[in-house]
Amino acid sequence: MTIQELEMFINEYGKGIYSFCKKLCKNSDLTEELYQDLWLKACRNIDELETNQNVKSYLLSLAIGIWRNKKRKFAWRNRIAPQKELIHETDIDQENAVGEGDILSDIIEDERKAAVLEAVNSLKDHYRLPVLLYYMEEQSIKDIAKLLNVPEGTIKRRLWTAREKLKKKLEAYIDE
Amino acid sequence: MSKNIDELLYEVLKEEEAPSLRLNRQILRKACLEGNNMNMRKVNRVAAAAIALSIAMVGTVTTYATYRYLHPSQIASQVSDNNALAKAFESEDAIEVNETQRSNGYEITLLGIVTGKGLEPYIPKEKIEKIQPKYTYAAFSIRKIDGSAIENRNFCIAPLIGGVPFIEGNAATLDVFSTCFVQDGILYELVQCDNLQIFADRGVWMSVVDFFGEERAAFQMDAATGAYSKVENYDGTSALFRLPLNVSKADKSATEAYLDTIRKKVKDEAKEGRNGNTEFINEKDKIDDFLKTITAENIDQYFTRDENTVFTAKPDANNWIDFGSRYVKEEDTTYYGISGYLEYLIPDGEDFAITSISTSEGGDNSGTTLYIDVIFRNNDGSFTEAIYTSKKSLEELVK
Repeated sequence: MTIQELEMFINEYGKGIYSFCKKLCKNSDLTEELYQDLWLKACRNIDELETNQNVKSYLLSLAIGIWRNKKRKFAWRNRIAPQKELIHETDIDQENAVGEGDILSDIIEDERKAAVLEAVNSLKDHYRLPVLLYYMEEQSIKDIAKLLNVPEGTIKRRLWTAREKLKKKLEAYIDE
Repeated sequence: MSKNIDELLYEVLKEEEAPSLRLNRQILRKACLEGNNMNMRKVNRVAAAAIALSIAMVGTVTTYATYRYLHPSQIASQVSDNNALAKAFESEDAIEVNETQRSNGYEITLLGIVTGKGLEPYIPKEKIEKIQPKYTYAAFSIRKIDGSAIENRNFCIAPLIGGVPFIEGNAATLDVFSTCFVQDGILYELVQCDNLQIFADRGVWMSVVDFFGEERAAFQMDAATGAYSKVENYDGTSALFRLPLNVSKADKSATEAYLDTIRKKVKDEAKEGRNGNTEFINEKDKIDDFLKTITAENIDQYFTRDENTVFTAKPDANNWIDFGSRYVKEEDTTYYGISGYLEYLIPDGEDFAITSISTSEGGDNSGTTLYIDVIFRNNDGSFTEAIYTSKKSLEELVK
């Protein structure tokens, strides 16, 4: 891959992939590390990129693969020096918003988003990943199954279970 | 299954956050540095073409050639003795331009610029005198298109300011200083000049030519708009980059004060030039006495006109006249006309004036040749300037 082509891919997919990495890692520093490693790996595995017509799907699989490999390292680092979770950063944003005198609807909206993110982040990984891939990345059940290397039926079941858990946690924010 | 939980999840989870420019730049730089270890094969052409098309449809594609080159911060690290400038080029205040132009067998890229304010946070107090926050720094890369090794030399890189004639705004008056080095067959040049940000509302260009002074032949300024552009078919290296400066940071009062200082300096130098040229010529009084006898009517009796040096021009609204230049291909030489305020070139009411004189010693004992630069006032309000060479030696003329 030439550098110009890499830049083109980053321009096209960078925002979406970065957002996915951020929700995956729940931490800004780790997000940057994952995002960077992902692109450098994409460069090194040019053959894989060539054979994949669905570039986004390939990049997501890279992100998940690297994230899984790093999970142990992240967990170890967290035991030594607990990382600040993303959800707390959102809380801080809310406080700032209050300080700047935002209107009430904005405050309520921020609270709702924070609640959704907290609820999603509280899910175990084997539920959280399908939720992120389905709602955030709008991947099909078939593609999610391929990405996570589990049967489609398993993905359907996990999504259903995840939705039920989230409905319970977010009942204040959804219509009955 | 409630529809609303789906709507809620779609809505919240789909919100995207972009990575910082710094992070993307870091990735591209690391990828560039790892380049030799990468499997650098062509990406699937269909995928690449689809990407390029989609980017073109949704927004502007950055004009880039950069990441095969050093980043401006790396160039700065090579040529300066502390990290201040390198850090400034890494900052959000730095402007990445990454524009490439081809000329005369060279590929010239303006990589990026950083101006005064962008430097301030990075300069340690003890270094404040060396790296000046009042300056603008620009980083260039130049390579030969045919891939051959480039010579280690300074190209003349200098700003041109909209509406400001070259004689006022050039490498000398804008305090341009540059350093260069060659790495991996590419020439890198770091240029320092007075802060250009104040001129943002006029339009500012960075020009590149082989040698100082050739800007006058390579570029032209539109009299109405003040905009600079390249002269077509100029036979030499020329590149012209419009700088993407923030117009809101222009400073009209600072601009006027700055230009007034330059104009005064140019006027004083023009006066000195006219009067001072004869200082080093022997027999000054005799020469002056002789030249007082020369008129428009009898000049051809004593002198021969050099046709390559004949220029005609009209003064502008400020009574500034610029006779321009001319490249003569057969001689591979550019001839330059003079420029200056009219009142210092030819007094009011006079039809003829000698603006400067010079001599050269004949190598074969043929005596000293006298050259005079003259200006004629024409009936249509224009002026003609030319250099005349004495037909006889100076010694014969003044005896």
